[in-house]
Amino acid sequence: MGACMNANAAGVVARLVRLWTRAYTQGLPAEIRRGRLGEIESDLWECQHDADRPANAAEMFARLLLGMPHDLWWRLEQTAAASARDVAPAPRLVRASAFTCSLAFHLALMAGIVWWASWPAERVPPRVFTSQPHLTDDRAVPVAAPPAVFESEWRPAVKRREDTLAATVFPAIGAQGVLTTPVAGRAQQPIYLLGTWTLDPSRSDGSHDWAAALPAGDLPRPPPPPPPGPASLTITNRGNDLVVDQKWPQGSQSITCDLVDAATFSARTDEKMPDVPSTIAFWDGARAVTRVLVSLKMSRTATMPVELRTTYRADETTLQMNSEARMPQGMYTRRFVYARQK
Amino acid sequence: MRRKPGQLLPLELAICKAARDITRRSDKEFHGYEIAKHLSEAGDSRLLVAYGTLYRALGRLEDMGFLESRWEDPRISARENRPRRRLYVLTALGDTVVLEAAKAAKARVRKQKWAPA
Repeated sequence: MGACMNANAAGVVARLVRLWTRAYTQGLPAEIRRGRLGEIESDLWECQHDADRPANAAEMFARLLLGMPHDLWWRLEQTAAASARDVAPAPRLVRASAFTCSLAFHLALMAGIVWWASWPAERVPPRVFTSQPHLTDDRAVPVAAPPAVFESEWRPAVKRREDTLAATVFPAIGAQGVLTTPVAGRAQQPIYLLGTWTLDPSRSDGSHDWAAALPAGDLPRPPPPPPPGPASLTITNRGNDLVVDQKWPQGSQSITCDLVDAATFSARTDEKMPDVPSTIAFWDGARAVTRVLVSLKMSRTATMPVELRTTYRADETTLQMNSEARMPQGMYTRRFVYARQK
Repeated sequence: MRRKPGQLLPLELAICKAARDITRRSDKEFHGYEIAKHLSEAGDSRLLVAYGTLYRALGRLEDMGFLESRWEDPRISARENRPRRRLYVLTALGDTVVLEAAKAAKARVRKQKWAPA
């Protein structure tokens, strides 16, 4: 029966280990995530089916807890490596993962502290029932006065524990609140970006086309930009897609970016933006960055690679769009301000 | 504290030694749990190395070129009705590191033995 109970407990701990692994690998490139999940799954299976060494739930739980700091550190290393490879996960996913990890870690920490704090109380022997006169440090206490013994030895021990509890659990709860509230608060921030916006020409740079910012000189120049006019911008979030529709008197442009995972980003743009090899979007509720690599036609035969990086920031009434065009000759920036359409 | 490049932590060295032992004993690749078990037996410890500690160290050793890994053929795991294993093997570089560490440990012992009382 004991073995059966231990097997059940091992199953529960194995589930916890899987849950934790999913939490701290959330948002990583799919290949790395699958690798780590596969390793842990294999380890759990081997541990539960090892004939020489029966699975021990307490040991598995200890392995989980002791490895948590290393898991978090590994996660940071992987995120840094992914950033270096420029396939960083969407910040929303990173934050959700950080929040889950932080919450799990603090819950485990608090469970440990509460368990530790409650442990000695069960261990202190109730000396009130002793049949022998009990000797304290400096005087004999008769049997007829058991409460005095209780008060002198048992109560201070409990009092010490209570003090320790007050000194550890409550700061831990406070620290957890401090650590997790900003993360949760940011995750709950309203998505101001979504909606339809109208260009405010008085606060924007002259044209909607970044190419207008190209300096004169020997640089190859694209066709002249269309004259500025009333322009609108509509941002929608369809499922896992961020869709940015731009309209101005002379034309329109639409960019759709997948926001599922950094490893599965794909670009779907309309015919107005040909030759788009890749699009990446970072989305975090109040701010979005789209990065589009285009091959700009300079003439019938010549093309120029350009990276268009656009940052959208919005509050309830105003949207600020900063456009950067990075090309071999340099970088040009444009700034546009939109007002929310009522 | 940032460690020097190429410097091994005690756990990483212990993993390399365990990998060498397993390879010499059975001449086969090994998986993570096998290493954890071997470390526990060799170190006379009741507890296996924690998941995060073990797999992070294995990853680091692979990055440093001391270990190589591959995923097991899915047909084998399917036949045995279990998850796929990630199989590791000690590289020649890893083998050299273990030998050098053993030599250094021997030299330390000899030095202590001949040191004046």
